[in-house]
Amino acid sequence: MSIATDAAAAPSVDIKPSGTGLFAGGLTALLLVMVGAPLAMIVLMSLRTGFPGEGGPLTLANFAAVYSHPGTYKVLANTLLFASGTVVVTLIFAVPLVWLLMRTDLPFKGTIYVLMTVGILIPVFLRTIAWILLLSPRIGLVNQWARQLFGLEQPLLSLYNIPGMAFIQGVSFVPSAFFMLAAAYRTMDPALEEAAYTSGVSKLQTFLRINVPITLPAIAGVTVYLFMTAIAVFEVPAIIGFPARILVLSALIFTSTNPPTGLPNYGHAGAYGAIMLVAGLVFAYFYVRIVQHGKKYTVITGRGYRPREIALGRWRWPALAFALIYLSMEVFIPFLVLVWVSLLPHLQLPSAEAFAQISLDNFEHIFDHVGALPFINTAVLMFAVPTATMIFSVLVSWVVVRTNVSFRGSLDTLAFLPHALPGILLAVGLAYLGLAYRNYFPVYGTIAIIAIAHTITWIAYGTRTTNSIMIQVHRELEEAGKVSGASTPTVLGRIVLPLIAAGIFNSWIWISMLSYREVTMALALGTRKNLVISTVVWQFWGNGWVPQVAALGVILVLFAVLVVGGLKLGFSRLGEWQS
Amino acid sequence: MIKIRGLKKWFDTRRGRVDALRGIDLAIAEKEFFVLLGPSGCGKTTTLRCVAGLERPDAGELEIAGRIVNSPERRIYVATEKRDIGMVFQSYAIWPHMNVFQNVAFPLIRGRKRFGREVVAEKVKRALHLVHLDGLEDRPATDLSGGQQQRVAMARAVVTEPKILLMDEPLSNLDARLREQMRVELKKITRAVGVTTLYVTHDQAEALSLGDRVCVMHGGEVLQTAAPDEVYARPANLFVAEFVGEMNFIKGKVASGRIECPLGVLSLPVPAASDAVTLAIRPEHVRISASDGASGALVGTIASKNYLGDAALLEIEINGVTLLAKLAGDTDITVGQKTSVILPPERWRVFPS
Amino acid sequence: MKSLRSVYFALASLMFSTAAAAAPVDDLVAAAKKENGFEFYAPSTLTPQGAQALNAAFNKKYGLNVKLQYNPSGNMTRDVGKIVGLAASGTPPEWDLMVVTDAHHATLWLKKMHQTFDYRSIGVDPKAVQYDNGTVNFANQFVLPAYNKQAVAAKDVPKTWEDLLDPKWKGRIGVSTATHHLGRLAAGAWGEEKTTKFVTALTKQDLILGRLGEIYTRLLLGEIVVAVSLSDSELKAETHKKAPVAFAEAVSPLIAPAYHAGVPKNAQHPKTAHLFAAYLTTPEAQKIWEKYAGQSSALIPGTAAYKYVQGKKVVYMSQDQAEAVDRLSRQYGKILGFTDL
Repeated sequence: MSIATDAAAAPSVDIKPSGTGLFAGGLTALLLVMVGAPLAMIVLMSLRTGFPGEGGPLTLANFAAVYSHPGTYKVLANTLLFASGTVVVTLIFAVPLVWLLMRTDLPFKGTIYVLMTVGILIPVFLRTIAWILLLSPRIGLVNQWARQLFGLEQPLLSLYNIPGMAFIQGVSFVPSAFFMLAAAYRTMDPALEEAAYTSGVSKLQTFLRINVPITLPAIAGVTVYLFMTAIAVFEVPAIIGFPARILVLSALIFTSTNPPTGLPNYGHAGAYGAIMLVAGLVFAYFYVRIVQHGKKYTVITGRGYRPREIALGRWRWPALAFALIYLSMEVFIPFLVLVWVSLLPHLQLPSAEAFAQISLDNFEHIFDHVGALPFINTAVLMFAVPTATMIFSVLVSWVVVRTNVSFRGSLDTLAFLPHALPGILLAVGLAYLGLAYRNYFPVYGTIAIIAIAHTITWIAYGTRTTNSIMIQVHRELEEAGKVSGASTPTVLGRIVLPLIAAGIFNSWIWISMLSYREVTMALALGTRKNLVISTVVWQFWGNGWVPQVAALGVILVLFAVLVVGGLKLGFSRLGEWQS
Repeated sequence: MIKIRGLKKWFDTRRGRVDALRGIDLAIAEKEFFVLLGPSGCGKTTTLRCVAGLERPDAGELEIAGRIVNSPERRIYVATEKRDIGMVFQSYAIWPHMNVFQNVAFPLIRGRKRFGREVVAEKVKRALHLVHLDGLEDRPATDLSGGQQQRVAMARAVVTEPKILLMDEPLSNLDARLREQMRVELKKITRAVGVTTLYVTHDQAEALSLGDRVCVMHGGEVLQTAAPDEVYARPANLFVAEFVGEMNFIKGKVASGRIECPLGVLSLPVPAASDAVTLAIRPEHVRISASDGASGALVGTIASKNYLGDAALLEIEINGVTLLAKLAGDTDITVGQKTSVILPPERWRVFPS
Repeated sequence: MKSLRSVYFALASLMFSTAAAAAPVDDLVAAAKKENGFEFYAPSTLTPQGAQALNAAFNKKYGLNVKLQYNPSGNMTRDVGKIVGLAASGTPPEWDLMVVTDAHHATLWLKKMHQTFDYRSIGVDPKAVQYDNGTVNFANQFVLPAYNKQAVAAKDVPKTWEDLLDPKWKGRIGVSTATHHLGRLAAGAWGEEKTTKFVTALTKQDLILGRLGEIYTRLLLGEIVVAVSLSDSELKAETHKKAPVAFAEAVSPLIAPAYHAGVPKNAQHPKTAHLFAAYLTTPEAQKIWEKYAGQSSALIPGTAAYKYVQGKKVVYMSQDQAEAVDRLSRQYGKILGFTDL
């Protein structure tokens, strides 16, 4: 009998390792290359002197030069203070905002939600100029008024210090943190909160003792992400820190690879980067620990419940005020300043004379200065990066959440790793790879290299969101497809994808925005052929063409509001059975 | 139709290996309605999912319709989608982005065997008729009630006329009245289709009423496989006795071939090599008569009475032991009354403690 | 006979000399025809329109029909680094002719990476030929301290470099990353010792740091009222004409960085590139360059730059100062706090 059954079974037998296992293996290998290759380059770079492609013996000279210099440690301290401060500022705004928008009956939630997205479109430089106009110790309007009102000798507030830098950078990170945390709060079972209220615990206490601890893994993830991003960014350090001689690590790496005189020193950049890398890996380790610890109370949504909103009662208006204060800093004031500056022939504070000079000249001539290339390149980035990232993320999450492949945990950690890899380092590593091995990797100086850098960076972000989206889709919906006899690709395409489409689209839009505004990597990988809008903005700022940049900013914000608004509207129906 | 031999599955956790299945052996005949019954965590769902191919056992062999579908030792695994099965999930797993027709038609359009448009329409129509959902084809899945979702899930599972139908606690999310109604219908549908059914539940009433045979599981092992009346009347061990139906349990000691307990010394067959035993008797087998002093009868006092309409449950105290008795609802025995209690020896079950 | 011989001799020598003068140009023109186009790297301030105008005038002058591919500069330092890196791996450079500053060409020169050519042989003023026949100097920038006209009264405008050390500027004075301005001063008119002392004294002024454009922006805003040095690229740009920022014209010496055109080694189209480098010193090219890029050469009579420097003490950089300027620029960067190493 057994012979007969064997013969019958033979044609359709699947032998381990299954197709899924092979696929997961391939995915892991690809990701390993994407994350590992730039990392290896940084290590190689730090061990060589000279130029990419020059070869030469391995040496520890760079480390000796960098770490024997006492100034390096001052810079490290600055970097840590700046990054920690930034994270604190971001979380102070982001966590309460997430709770207010996702869980309560705060008025005008929809509008606030949209405005958060709009804020991202204002380039950080211009936002920073707004803060200079307001808070510069000499010319800042706030300080001038304070001087007139209270007769102060000294400026009331100053921007040019580490708290000032952390404040500006922190505020600009809030939307990222917000959207990353939103998913965690959305999937939290409201019964957990309600149980606290029925036990007589106040709303604030519930928020602090229930919501925050339960979402701790998510907050930890965001914190690591923010910290590593804060270590890597250099817009605010360049505009606010640099003038006051406050150097941070990213600024050193940037000046090492883009010195004002002489030749780039990739070796020093690598040696500075090594410490970032170590910090990143330490953070990644702690993150994984926290997440594993948190898994025992990870809350997964039940069947078809709709979270009830918490009535804020008399706290409604103070809560709204909190949101408005944030939005003023994030959107209203910067946009107002943007419009003001864009109408002037040159940068100046409001005055009767300035009002007399208002014209639309900058808008008329902006495209003569910029040309079409940066717009085309930016459009390519804004489409290619989120698409590639989301495809990767969905596949990775599917393996991690849905299959029982033995190394799925490692795959998840691998996908998270770019979070811990500072963007500037990734970019410098890729640039080195592109220069040193241009025959095998001929993308240096093309828009593709920026797209690759962005995709690698945001796979971490993408997989965090697709993981939570995927968990929300009940496993049995997929199994029902398989039982129906549909193949794995059919199940993915016909069942999983339509179910997660709305969530994926939200992440897609978001990554598109992040890609649009990212400047650190785009600049480190930039040549004249792969200029994007964000690097044009940086160049204009460097040339002192601020009104032109402002005009560009106003045009982009208005354009993006139309596009994003339209897309969101079009997809809102998709979201009905999603959330 | 389904043969399971030595099925084992374990999970490696930080605290070491956890066994989910410790070697399951089952043989399910064609067109049989076979129920896996047990408390949560007993391994019944894991067994079902192994049959479906949604889980892979670590050892053992699975055979469906004479074809080995899974055997880790021989490196054979037939993927779920290639097994000729239908399945109803606990959550129903109705795809929310499709309407009723699309849900039911999916296995016919994308599944093992694909059919033309007209055949699909015809088959879907028949399946929906079977579950009494005629005319609801265009209803979006999100607009269905729980009972309707259950029916759609059922229709989707049988639409391909599979050899095997798997059901994972399909009624547990329905309210009590609907559940009983669906139970009857479920049996009718499976009969009508003539499919071999493997059904998982933790509800013993459901198991007894639906199953041609019932398999009681606990801790990853099979405790007893038998017809429902056999399981009820002759539970194989103490756990089955506790889990299936109500029972009175009394501790006893074996002394020279007889059992001593608070109710006296009983001459009953004693299980081999045990000195401490548990005696068990079902409440409906405890006989009570108002007249005291019947010869050989025990005397007890009624401690409480719980009137259920068709029946009454009485608690009787005898020699410091409380026994539960189930009588017809119209009994006139009242609380505090002294009664004689008869415990027929043939009704006693004796288990080693 | 004798006279005949002398006539012969005179004729021969005449022929020889004209041949010597004309042949190299003709050779280049002929070679350029074959090369049929070249890659031209030049400052982004030239604009594509400017590049097109140069291309047209160049073709007309030499009867050519070559296509000039304009590559506007992004980051000169990095692009020079890229040329060095490409050469290290044996790949030909992306560009046939590079217009970068004299300081950037110094980097290439020190690495011996110029495709040399006897530019004098095709009529380039020997003073303009630099870096051992590696480059042609054809335009000058001018660098001076600058101030905000609204914030600084006429009587307070600095008249000497040393005026910048006046304590009244403390906290209101900025300095740019272009420390080669100071390096030039040190290698030229002032000498190292005096300049280093000056730079060190500057640090007591609570300097605001930034790139050139940022310093300009802050000057415009009034965050700073005086900049240690700005170049005419910032001040005279079309977009900045109405801005209240001006050079402290009384300050002397005037620093004049230069733009050189040079051909990197192993360039694909060296002949056209050499011809074009020489062409940039012609009056017609000067006019086009001034119209679009805003500069002209102080060495060529009749240009705006030539007129501007008359009667002024000017610091030019020569090739033997290249190493010193590079070293001092770094050193001053460190003193001023731009970098750590």
